[in-house]
Amino acid sequence: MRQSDLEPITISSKRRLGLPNFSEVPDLIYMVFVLTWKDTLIQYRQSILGFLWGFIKPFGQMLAFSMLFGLIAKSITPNVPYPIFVFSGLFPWIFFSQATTLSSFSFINGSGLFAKTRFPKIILPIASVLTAGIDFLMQFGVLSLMLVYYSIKPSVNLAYLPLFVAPMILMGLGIGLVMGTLNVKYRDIGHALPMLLQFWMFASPVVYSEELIVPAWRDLYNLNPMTPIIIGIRWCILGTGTLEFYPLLYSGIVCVVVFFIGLTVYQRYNDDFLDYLTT
Amino acid sequence: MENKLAIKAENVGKQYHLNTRNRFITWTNLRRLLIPKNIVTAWQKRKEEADRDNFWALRNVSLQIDRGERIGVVGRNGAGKSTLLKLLSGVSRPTEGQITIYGRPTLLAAAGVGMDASLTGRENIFVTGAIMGARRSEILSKMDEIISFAELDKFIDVPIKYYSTGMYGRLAFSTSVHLLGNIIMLDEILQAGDLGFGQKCIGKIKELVKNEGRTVILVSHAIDIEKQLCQRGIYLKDGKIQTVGKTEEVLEKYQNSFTANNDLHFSVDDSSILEKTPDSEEGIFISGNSQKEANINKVATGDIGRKLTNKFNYNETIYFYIDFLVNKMLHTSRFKLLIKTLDDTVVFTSNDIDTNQDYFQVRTAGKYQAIVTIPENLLAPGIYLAEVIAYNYSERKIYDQSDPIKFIINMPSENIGLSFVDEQVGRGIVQPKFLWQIEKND
Repeated sequence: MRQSDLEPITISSKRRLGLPNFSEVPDLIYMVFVLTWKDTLIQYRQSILGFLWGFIKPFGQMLAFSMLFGLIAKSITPNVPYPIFVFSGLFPWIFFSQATTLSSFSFINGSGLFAKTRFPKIILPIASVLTAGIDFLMQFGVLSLMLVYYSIKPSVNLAYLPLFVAPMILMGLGIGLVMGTLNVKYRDIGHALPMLLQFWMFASPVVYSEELIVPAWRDLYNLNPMTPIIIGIRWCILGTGTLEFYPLLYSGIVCVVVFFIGLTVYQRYNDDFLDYLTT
Repeated sequence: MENKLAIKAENVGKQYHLNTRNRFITWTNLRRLLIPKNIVTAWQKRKEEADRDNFWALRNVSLQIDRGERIGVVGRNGAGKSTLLKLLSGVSRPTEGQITIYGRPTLLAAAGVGMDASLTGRENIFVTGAIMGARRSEILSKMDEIISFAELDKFIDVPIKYYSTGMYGRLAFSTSVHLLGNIIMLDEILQAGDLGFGQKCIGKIKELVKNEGRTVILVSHAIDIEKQLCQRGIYLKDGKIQTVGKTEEVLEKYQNSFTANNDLHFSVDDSSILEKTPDSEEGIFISGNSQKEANINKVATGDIGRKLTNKFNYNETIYFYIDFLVNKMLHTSRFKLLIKTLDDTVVFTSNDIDTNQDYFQVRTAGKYQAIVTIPENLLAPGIYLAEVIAYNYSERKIYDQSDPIKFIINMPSENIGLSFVDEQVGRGIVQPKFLWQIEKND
């Protein structure tokens, strides 16, 4: 018997504003663990290279960008070779975009489970973010190989990495909850999201250095909450770039706000998902 | 908190929107909006269309279900049985009213729902178990029991996409029943698998109710299962509770709704019937179109000249006329005709591929009519029910199902009437004529 078995559940026709019930959280840990394990398992099942794809895919993207921009951008990243520069921005971005995409589809993909029993559906996007997180951790392996190859010593700033990854998780989950909820009813999201993420990536200093942006546009450029985060992560790994306090604070606040918006939207509409998902 | 209640439903209703098509940006909609004065009418029309397409699957339902109760829900197709279970289990939000659930409900509907095809049976048990709130230790300790109950020892580590429908059903039932859910709701699930497994499930449910005091709510077309299992019955009709009470009484009322009005006879041609009888009648099933992939519009019996009737002589051929609409291109769609006696014994079933063995059947969108010929001299005189089920063979999914229609086989004038021997040993449901060759051997 767990806590949530004892309390009666009331489902009313009225939609209310509010946040999910946080007292359930201890019961959900195992559910999230199993779902993450399942998602990871499915992702690489029936492929010969299996989980190796987790390494190969970002490496391939890095190669592609190196081929495209490496020659042009050489002059603006004087301190580090372009491949490692781009990878240090690319792999956190891939994590963010994976987390956002997977969680935006998690309600649709998990619809079979909704019909079975009543459970907190929020565990599906959480598991999606964790699944993306596993890939993220694997890519640290690729990163360290690259650091060895270019004989670059990792920066001591690495200890601060979680401070920059945390807001990214909140942002990804927040967007995933809003988009996932919309996606249940309007499948337009599935078409629009990859495109938007692509735009967003080029609006952030992922494959180029923020120093390319002329100072007059810097304030506008910093409105993108992902900019300070990517700069921060690169600072952690390579020790390059300069951190500015106010853009970082702003970015953190935006991420937290988006996360809570996501929770509220989810809480208001999650009981209606099944109506749009089963035929 | 000492509470005997399992579920309380207060004045609950559920509304569905049938047609969402007109919300999309289509050429017709755009053209309509190009003319300015149409914008106003289009806006008004939207509301009208919305009102027309909204329908109440269930309304004004108030119920109190105690812990440990076993309840059977009956009603014809579309009466709101499945909707009721969805609401009572809390997986769907009511449009009106409020539901309070004391405990953890598990809803078992179509076999295989919620299982991941690329995962093995064992992996699916972990996922389903976790979703139902079981802990790892709990799942591990019940694992062997689940596998052996589902009779899947050899196949448990095989991805379930290689399973048969029966195996799916057994795995789903076994997992759900062993891993918690102190309120179990079963929607037509006991028919999954073969007869032996169905009986085993009934036994298991009885055991659970007796030993652990679990609450069971059951929807089944199989009247005898409800009789065996349930103490209380609910008869739903057109989204409203018709009767609640002792199982026998409720079932009797439900069955009477079929046997009343025995002398239905059609002698009109079918197009006028379509207009005259909007609802399903005893001898004919008629239904409007829906968003389903395949929609059964009409099921009727008649003679070779398409004259509809539901009375036949034993030595007359019976023709089933089935009209259906396919809304999008379908692969491996199947149609099944099911003939039952009034006490729900299936006499036989027939598939559209019985004589046309096109297993990878592709059907494009459009209207279809099927004519099924049941030979003369087969069904013994009596009253029968026929149902048509449209489903997908490879996706294991039911598209649509007709209400049962009734037809009568009359005693023929020739000499196959009951003899005194038949009265003693019974005559059987089918009475085909076989070849007897008798020779004198001396």
